[in-house]
Amino acid sequence: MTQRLKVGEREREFLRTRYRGFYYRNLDKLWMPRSLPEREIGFLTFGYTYRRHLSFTDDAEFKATILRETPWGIFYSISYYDDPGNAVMERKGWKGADLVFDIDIKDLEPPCLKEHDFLLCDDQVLPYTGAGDLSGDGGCKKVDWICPLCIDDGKDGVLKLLDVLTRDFGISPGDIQVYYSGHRGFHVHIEDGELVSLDRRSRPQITEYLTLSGVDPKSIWRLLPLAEGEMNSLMGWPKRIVERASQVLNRPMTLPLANVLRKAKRFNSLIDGVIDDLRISIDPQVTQDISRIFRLPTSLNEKTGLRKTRCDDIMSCDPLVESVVFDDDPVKLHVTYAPKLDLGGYTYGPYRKTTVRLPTFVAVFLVSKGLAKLAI
Amino acid sequence: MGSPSVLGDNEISELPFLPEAAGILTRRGYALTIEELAEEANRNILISGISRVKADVIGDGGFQVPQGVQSPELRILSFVVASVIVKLTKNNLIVKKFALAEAKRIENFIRTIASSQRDSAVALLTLLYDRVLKMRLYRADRIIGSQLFEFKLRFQDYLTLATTINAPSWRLVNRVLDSGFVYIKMENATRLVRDAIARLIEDHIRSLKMVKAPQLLVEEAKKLVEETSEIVGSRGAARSWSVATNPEEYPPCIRSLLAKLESGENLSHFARFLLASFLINIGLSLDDIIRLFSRSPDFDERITRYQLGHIAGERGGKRYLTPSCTKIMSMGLCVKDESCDDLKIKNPIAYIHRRRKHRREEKTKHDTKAKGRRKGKGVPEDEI
Repeated sequence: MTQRLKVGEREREFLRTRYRGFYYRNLDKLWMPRSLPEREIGFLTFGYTYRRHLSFTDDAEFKATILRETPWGIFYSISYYDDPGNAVMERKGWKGADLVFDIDIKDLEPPCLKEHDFLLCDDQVLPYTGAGDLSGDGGCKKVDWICPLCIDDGKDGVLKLLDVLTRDFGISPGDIQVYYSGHRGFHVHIEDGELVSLDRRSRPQITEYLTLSGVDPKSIWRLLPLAEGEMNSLMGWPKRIVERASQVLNRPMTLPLANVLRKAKRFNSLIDGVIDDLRISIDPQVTQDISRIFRLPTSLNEKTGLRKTRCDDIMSCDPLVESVVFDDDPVKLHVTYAPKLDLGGYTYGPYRKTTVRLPTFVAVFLVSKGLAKLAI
Repeated sequence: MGSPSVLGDNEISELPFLPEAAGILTRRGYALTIEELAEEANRNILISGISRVKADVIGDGGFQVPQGVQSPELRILSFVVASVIVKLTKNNLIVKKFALAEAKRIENFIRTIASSQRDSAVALLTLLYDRVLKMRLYRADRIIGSQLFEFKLRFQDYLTLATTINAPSWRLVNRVLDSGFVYIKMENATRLVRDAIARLIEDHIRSLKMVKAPQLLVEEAKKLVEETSEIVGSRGAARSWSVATNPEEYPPCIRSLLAKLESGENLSHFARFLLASFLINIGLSLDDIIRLFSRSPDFDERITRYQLGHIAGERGGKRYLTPSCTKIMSMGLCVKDESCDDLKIKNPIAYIHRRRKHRREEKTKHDTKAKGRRKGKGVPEDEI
């Protein structure tokens, strides 16, 4: 396994000062979880340690602590507890949990990852072509990059998820909040009081449904229409699957299609192929593991210095612009290596072993990635 | 909701644990005390109750109230008598068997009337969901593709019920879900409520209060316990009845792990899981298991207790099964000897009772042979 590149002490101090300024200026705009006293809070400190099992009685106390300690990352439990500060998980007294989903862009395998992700082996830059490259030399660090193309793929993933959440699960669009994570993902939060009580056995069934894992082709085969009017009565996944099969086989959504599918010798493999196109890529653990802590909306992502930002309208939302919070005061940096970077509406780089003056938000990004040092 | 308008006393008497059933008894003048039930004059009730409990606990649950006396009150009262007997056994296994058999009978009853008296079946199910599950079973009568779905449930409710059933067809991904509702057929709705009925009957029996039980029923309970243990013993099924506490009875992999633990060796995560799930599933108490694990070098009672509780499915979780031999082999912990092959086990949990059964059979064979040999040698009968 590769690790994140370490950020030097001086650079961390630079980031810390910027973070403190950000939280100072935006304290009243900082998103606060519902029922804060029932949540566990976690901080990633600038000393690379995680502090979990924190709890706060009210928003003011939480915000004051954020200002005082200036964490690198701020997390809150999706679960509600009687005693969130108890360090023993089973003594926290679980009461319920929000329903959240994490779309990790990496899992969508957009082609651009191979172009911009790279390995840094000591000082040498190697292209990253897949997990196989990581064997052998333990000195290599993998660096994840972002570009408008992979962000768009992430948005497509969000749209697929929203379609199933609203149509199949009947969740009201008003109860769904979409956030860009500030790095390579989107977080979808459901604010529906009724779903809070879903237990740890029910949650995996929701992720299975979304990812179509364990789907039995027979369950779809059995529903295949036998009469003309029945085609329109299909709903949920069976409908989407038959629709996709209609595209693949280039036949209209009428009874003859159902007859072809029913007789198709390789119905199972046909369906398997179709399912691969349709399944929604979410990280099942994030939804299922109710003991997790999750990044606080509107807080800064320590991997980039970008803010976890609400995308009210996923189509028009421009995460690589809207998540930028720092100004463009120039900062002089030694950059080891950086691929082309689209941020805040402009394009920067690529850079290779060079000293440049860059706007603060770009500097924060490169320093957070461990790819640049302050040149003062 | 759940209006029993189409439900007559006959249908209600199939759900004898509902308050409505007590209403039938009062209305028909059968509000008897337990003492009165045991009186000679109520012999037919008593006999029905006894045969009901036997059919449920020992038999295959195929209980029929004797022809000619199939009145609703008799059906309800036979349940009352049966429940009292079960309560008096003070045996949890019998309580569970009885409750499940009763729940299955209701399931079968609904299945049987589903085709001929559809409205009654729908009304009974609706009533059951309302009273037993406190859930609303929605009438759908919707055709989806080629199938008719009579009902729908809110998906949260569906998950609460279906997650306890293992078959893949019950997983949400294999169901039709639309606008927050899971569409289900009549037979699905019937199956989904079964476990909850069984739990309700268990609770009903546990909450029965008896100041002084009639001697007659106490004796019936005693007989039931004896007959049950015979049946269970001969099937060798109730491993929890005689917990194997002697490690010599355990399979080689488990014995080897215990030996390692004894010598203070640190076991891997999987080894601990295997050992814990094995000991839990053969019925050892958590305290006994904790005592065994206390020899582990990094022993922490609090953590161990939590993890064991998790594996045992406490706090409403699912009890973990013991890993299969294949899995144990793949994790490099299989140290099988010929005994495993002889007993043809696929899971270490089967080892103990197969070995016991095997020994019993061997012993019987041996005894018969011995008998034959001695006979052959002309040993006088009375010496045997």
